[in-house]
Amino acid sequence: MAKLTLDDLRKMRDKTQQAMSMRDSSKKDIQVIVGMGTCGIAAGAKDTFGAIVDAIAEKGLTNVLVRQTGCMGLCHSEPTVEVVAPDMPAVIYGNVDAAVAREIVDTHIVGRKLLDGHICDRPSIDIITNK
Amino acid sequence: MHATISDVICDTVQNSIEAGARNIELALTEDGRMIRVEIKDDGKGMDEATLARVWDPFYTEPGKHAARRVGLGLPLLRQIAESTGGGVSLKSEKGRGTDLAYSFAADNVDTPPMGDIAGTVLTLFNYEGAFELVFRHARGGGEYEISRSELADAAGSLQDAQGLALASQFLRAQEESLPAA
Repeated sequence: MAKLTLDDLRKMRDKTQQAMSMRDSSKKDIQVIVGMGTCGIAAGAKDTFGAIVDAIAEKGLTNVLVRQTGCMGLCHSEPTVEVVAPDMPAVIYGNVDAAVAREIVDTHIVGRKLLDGHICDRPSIDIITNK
Repeated sequence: MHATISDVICDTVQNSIEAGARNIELALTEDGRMIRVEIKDDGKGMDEATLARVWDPFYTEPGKHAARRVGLGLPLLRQIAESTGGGVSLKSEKGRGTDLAYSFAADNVDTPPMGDIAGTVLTLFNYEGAFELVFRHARGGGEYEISRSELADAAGSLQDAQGLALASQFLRAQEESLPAA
């Protein structure tokens, strides 16, 4: 591959933005948050992160922010991914490898249905301390 | 223990970000004999008492983790690095920042594989907050340097997937352009 320069990248961005401007790309109302604590990294969260970015970009979705957080307390189910989308419950998925990450993009973000088999939900609140 | 050097880099640069650094330099040098990583930050730094305890696996910075009493990152890093014939050096000054350097012998059987450097730098650039991170990678006589701010400017954003995909493409192209060590 020829070495890509920052100017090449700007041209590619302009081209992509022109293509996107034909669609509704007003606001970024969906957040995908990847757990990137030590436990997540050790379980392969970087591959998960990359697969999510690639899947969203391939589908031309412009309303999705990809963020990261530390350990969500679900180390047994890393890599974990939280999806926050309007009119849907916020869901934490567990054991999200690259293939599951693509399924989450297809099913939850595009299809607007929860993906069965990987839902961990949020860690429950302690009913005594209410924390 | 991390499976790749990339994972170790991810973890140790996160320490700089979490220490409130505004400027971080990450240099990765592969000369065929050694693999060296240097991280310099201007974060909150550590006093001598803290510095003396960071190699204790049963010590972690108070308040960093709500219910955790161990801090395994640096002790495990030292164990891996020294077992390969490399080492770790840590210098820090409270209020001024921290310099961490570690190395692995390239041909040692215990040296972890490099892993996905482009993906690692991408996730570090994606980390939220107002900080500058400059990454430099030298290998086999070639090298490149890229900062978080210039890549964000060129890709449009390092938070939305379209910008991240462009940034990923850029970083992978730079990695592929480097000669073998």
